[in-house]
Amino acid sequence: MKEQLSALIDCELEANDRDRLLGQLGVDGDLRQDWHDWHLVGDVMQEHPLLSPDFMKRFSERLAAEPIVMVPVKRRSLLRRALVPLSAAASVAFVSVVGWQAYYGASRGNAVPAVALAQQTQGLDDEGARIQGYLAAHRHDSGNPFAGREFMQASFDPSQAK
Amino acid sequence: MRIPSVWLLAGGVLLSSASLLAAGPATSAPLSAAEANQLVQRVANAPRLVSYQGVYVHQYGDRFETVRVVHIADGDKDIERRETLDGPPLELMRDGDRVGLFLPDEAYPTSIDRRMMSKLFPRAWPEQAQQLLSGYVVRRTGHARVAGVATDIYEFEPRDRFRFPHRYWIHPETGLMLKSMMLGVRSEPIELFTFSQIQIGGNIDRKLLKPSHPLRTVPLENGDGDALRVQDPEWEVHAMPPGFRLVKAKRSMWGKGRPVTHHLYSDGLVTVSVFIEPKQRSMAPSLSQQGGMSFFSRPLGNYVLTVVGEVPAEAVQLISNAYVLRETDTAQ
Repeated sequence: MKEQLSALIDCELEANDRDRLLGQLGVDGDLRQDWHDWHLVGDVMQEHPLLSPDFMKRFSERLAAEPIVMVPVKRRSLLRRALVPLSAAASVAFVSVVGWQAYYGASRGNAVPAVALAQQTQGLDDEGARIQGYLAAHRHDSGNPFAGREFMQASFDPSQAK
Repeated sequence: MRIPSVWLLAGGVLLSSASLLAAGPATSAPLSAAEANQLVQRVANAPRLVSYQGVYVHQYGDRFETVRVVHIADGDKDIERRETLDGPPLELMRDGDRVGLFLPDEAYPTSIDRRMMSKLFPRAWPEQAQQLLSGYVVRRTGHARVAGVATDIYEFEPRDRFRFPHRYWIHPETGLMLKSMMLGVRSEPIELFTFSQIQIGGNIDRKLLKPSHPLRTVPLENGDGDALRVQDPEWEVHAMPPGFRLVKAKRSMWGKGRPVTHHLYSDGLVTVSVFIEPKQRSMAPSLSQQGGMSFFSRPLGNYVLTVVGEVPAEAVQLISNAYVLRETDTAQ
């Protein structure tokens, strides 16, 4: 199913499979989450500006309010159908492989679902030390000197933590 | 049937007020603007005007800390002392605007932010109600006892997706906050402050104010907010989530040759930090969340922009996107 989802994102799916998968997306919440996550990761990797958080909600609301216009289906030209999937496949496939590694490899060794919790690092790697430094500075200027003892004891100079 | 009821009782004791709340009315009408305003003023002023002493517990993620706090308000005197009761000893003493600290040697800050001093539990709310209320709807949802004292429960429900809900237990006679909880997107508790023992008013033993460690005086520093906003030719800041205001801006050196600009934003309850520094090597954007803390780092031209705060992931992304590179040709 995951392979098919990836193929769908790359527009590589045959019409039959595509319709079946789209139907599945309509009823399977987990699959929909995967779909959403993969696109999110793709966007982050490609440095697309992230859409405002409630974009989908507002989009759905507006879409629901749109009148439905019935028109005869036009067949797309064979050439177009052949070319579009190729270019899309090339870009997204690259991003989804490299993207996953770069996106998570930096902070975690193991892959976790997108936007899942990145646990506090036990062995402080570079990224962990970097995050820790920002957290300490943030806490220092915004928080309670008693809040989070380890932040107090952490050096506020992350360059030393490296 | 006895065992379940015992467990129920145990659960009830553990989650005392949470379970009481659940049993209360599911929705109550929001406070009117005037009522909410009055509530915020009262609760913001109470910790300064009321004498109290007690022990509170602070829980954040899997961390847990117990602190004794004594506050004496007597005419124009305003003295407080705090010390941790578990783990390494930390101590804080404040007499008006003078602050003394006892901390592990390497942890002494060169100064303490005035804003931060005004945020120590149970001083959690700003005196300016308007900013706070632009981000949250306030409801009174029930009653519960905290440390043996009857309180009213107020729910602060975010008006948008850029902040977390909060719940407060307020002593109705004085307006003193006895418990506060920040909840996550699934209403799970993220951060909790609660008194486990408290004396409000009455005769407070002055001996409790005597420091148990040698204290070092640390100067208070003002956050100058918008006046301090760093004007940089290379980037500019567009729309922030509603209610978030710049409370502090500063530039400092982190190690050698690493100048970091730090902008601190607050909506009155929570804070978000923005760090801008020169990009030292290529990096990919990264987004992570841990407890109630969100973190988003991305390249911005020749800089790295990092946003950290006690807000949902949507908020750090939105704030990050508010920082944009200036068009180079606008200089003409």
